[in-house]
Amino acid sequence: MKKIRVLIVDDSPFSQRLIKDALKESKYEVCGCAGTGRDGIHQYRELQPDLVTMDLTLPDMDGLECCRELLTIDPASKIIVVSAMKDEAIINRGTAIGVKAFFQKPVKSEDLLAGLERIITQQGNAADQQHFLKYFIAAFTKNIIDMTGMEVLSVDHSMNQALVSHGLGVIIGITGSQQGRIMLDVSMDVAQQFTKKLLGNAVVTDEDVFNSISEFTNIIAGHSISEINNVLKAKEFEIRLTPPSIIIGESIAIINPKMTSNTVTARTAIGSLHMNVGFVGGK
Amino acid sequence: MDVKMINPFIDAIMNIMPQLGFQNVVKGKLSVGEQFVESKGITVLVGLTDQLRGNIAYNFTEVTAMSIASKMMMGMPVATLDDLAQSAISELTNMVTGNAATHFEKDGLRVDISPPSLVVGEKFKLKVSSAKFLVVEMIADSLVIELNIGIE
Repeated sequence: MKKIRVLIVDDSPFSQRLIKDALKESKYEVCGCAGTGRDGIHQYRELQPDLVTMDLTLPDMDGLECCRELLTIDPASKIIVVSAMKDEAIINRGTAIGVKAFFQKPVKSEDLLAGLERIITQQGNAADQQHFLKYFIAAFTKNIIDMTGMEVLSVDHSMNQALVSHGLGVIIGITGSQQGRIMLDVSMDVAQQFTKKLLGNAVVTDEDVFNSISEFTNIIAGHSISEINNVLKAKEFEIRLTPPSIIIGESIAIINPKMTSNTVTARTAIGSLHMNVGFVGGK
Repeated sequence: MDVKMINPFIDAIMNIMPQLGFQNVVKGKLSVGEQFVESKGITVLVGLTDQLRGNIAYNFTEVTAMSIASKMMMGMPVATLDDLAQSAISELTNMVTGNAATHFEKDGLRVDISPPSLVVGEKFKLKVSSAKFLVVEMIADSLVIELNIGIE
């Protein structure tokens, strides 16, 4: 198996040695050691490691400053801080910049390995999360048909990072063992037509539209998550939903920085409904 | 909804902002909102569930969001709300809501929070899950963050 390459940025040869020893005979290999922030940035560009361990006190710059520069060069870089200092302020400032985890020196081998494992498996989680999408697609199409009597003419899906609303979006947060959100997005016109179908009324108010589309989203999310919870079984893996919020406005971007999401578009006789489902790394 | 519900959020801002480099953090106006939150340009939504259910909408102007992101990144100039700045603002709301959740837990209320959704646009409004919500302004070094707290 290909080893996971780690760059150590630490000015103390003793600390470099401790981290190297901690990673010995594991699936990680140390591909470089830098004693200054500048050298760390230089080696990062050259070596393109999978992970970086960062000390906070470097001779030429603050360690968090160095993290920020690395994340500017490569927003996907995975950095952990290994430092003598570890307090709430450091964790909050570091997390704000994008640091994945914090360890206090002297770090124990098992703690470091477990921490790195968590960061690496966050990527692996993507496969599970992709697998969850089928439950959302099933609940989405089934409820359009069951609740309105309309046919679903076609279902397409695409992966995307940024999302632009069509007029009315309902967002429901996903939390528990998996973190993410589901969003249903329609144009105002489709929202009105769809509400008429849901309520079986020829005339609907804005309030009817907001309530109906938000409850429709809640039902899709509830059905999907119940199915997923049945598959995940154990209580500690349970997923929960937060209540819906509604966004009204056109050309609105909805951004979840750490999230990759899928948009599923269902075409019906009255127009298209878009459901977007995204997850970030699990807990 | 009980007006005391805002205290954990105020405490969270008072606790977190100084750690990110803000010197002077004070509470501004408090009011009750109905129906819609009018966005100032950047609104971040965070959901709450478990023993407390609701939504928090953090409302900023774009200039304020950029100034906060810049300070969080140790003074790095932020000219547009790029990926790094978006991530910083999301992380701020995540920290504040997480910190408030910890305060609620100390009072015996279990709260779980969703990842933040950052909403950006020219003109839009939002409905948080309750018809009435509390609006509190927090001012950090003259930058105004408006919290709209809707708890069911």
